[in-house]
Amino acid sequence: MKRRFTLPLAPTLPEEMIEEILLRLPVRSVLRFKCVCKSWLSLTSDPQFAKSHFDLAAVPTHRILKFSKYSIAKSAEIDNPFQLNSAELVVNIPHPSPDRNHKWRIDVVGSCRGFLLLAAATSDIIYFLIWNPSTSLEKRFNKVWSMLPYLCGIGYDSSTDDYVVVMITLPLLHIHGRLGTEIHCFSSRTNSWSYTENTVPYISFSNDFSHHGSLLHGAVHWLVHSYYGFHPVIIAFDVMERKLSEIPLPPDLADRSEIYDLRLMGKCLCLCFLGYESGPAEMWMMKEYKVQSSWTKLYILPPICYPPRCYFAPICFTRDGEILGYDNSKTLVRLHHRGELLEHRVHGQCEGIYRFPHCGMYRESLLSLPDIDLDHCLRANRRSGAKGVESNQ
Amino acid sequence: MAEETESTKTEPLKTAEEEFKKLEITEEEESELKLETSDHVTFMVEASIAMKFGAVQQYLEVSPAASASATAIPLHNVASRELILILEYYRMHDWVDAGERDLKEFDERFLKDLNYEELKELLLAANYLNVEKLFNFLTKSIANIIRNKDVEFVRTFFGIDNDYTPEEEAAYREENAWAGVKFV
Repeated sequence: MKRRFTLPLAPTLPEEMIEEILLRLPVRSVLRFKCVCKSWLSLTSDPQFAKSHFDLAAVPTHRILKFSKYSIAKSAEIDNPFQLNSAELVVNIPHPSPDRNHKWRIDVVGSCRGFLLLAAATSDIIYFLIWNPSTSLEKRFNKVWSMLPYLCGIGYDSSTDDYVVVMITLPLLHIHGRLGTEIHCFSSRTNSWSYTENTVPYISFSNDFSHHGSLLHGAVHWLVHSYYGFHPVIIAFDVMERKLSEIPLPPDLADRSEIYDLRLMGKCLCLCFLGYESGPAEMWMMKEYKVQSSWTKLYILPPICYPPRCYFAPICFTRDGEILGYDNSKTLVRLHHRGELLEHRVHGQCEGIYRFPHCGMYRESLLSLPDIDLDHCLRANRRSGAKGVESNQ
Repeated sequence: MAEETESTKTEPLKTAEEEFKKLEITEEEESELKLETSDHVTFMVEASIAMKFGAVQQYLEVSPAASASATAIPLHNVASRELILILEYYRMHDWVDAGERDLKEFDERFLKDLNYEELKELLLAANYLNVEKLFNFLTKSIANIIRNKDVEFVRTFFGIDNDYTPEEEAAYREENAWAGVKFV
């Protein structure tokens, strides 16, 4: 390819065309080119630019963030082999608690439009942080808590341009008198919590206190146990309508207890089963959202592809249909869609079999959180009166 | 491909509306529009292709008589060199038999033959003509060229003067250090 490259290159492009070109760059290139000149800096720092860039999605890049040790994480590109230099970055994790000496464990409990929701629970307060790892933008808030298991997630309400954090506290099975499931929502626009609803009880699916919610079609999803009957069920909280609903599991899975996780894979809800030496990893995908008959057994990964005494826990699909997952030697593994091992990389620590909340997936974005709407704040406070709103900090 | 012509056609004058109707019905007997570039070269272009140009549509809305090939539609900001390329692109992408692979191959070859100046000239022309498909293709292609390049390359490519002081620039690079990792 012959390129003549003289100085300076005529013609000069007007700014609106430069913008069209910048909109088609991946996030990290845009960030790097902020120091080309001052007008590029102001252009790419404009929230409207960030929005157009996100919506156009010309080169969306997805990353997996894995905590390697306290307050340090490694971030790897999902669609590129780990060997590429670019694929892995080291990122400092901001602590949700304003107290820097705080050493409570940080969990990733949600992901939405380039933001990760981090949580750190003390004995009476949960500290939250909405964080965009690409731009380092962050926002802190907290919630008083009474040591009940909770589900968490973050969603986007496009009607009000608001990021909504959902926290659902679950009753403990053997403690009577506290049967309800309480739903709380935090609006980043009003900067406050509002108490939404007390619904039928559900029971935490595993022994973990916190549970990561998966965002799909405007609703956050979790796997729980029904209180009566104790069978697994998926619940979905619609962020715009503020409504909780149930999504049925495939009938023949209803009493299987070895489901380890509900995941978003290839933009579908996916139930994952651990693959041990004794049996293969299995995945069920709900191909059509909320259609029970569309649950399909998708993959059975043969255990022979993998060393003995290992399990494989799928995390996501890559663009080319490979499967990314973890094994019990704390290793991030990339498998061919037929199950052959392509590559693996030690990517931080794992605590026990079920402990995967230390990794979060996000699509890189330049988005910032919308400004706090003071009028809206006042109205919301008045509406909910004294009963439900906890002031924040 | 491009014919420099004095119009030899003697079609009766028609209103633009009739002309459009005819376009929809008869494909074999395709009508043509006369376009004149900034360097005063006249092109007879298939109406089905010329009507993809927003600038041509707009012109015809204002003066529908020009759809009869007697008068040339002036394209003030497009030189013949660019129009030839644009027509080449649209004829290929308009061709019904072109498969996805053919188009991909064509696009690659099309880009290969352009140097950076030509690429930018073509983008300016595509913007003036208001041809969305080509405009998107070119902006995407330029983005692909620069995405993994360093800041100096980008400044040269666009002819931009660095208006940061060395201290400001250093501070900025530090801040975005992890985005500055060079990757291929």
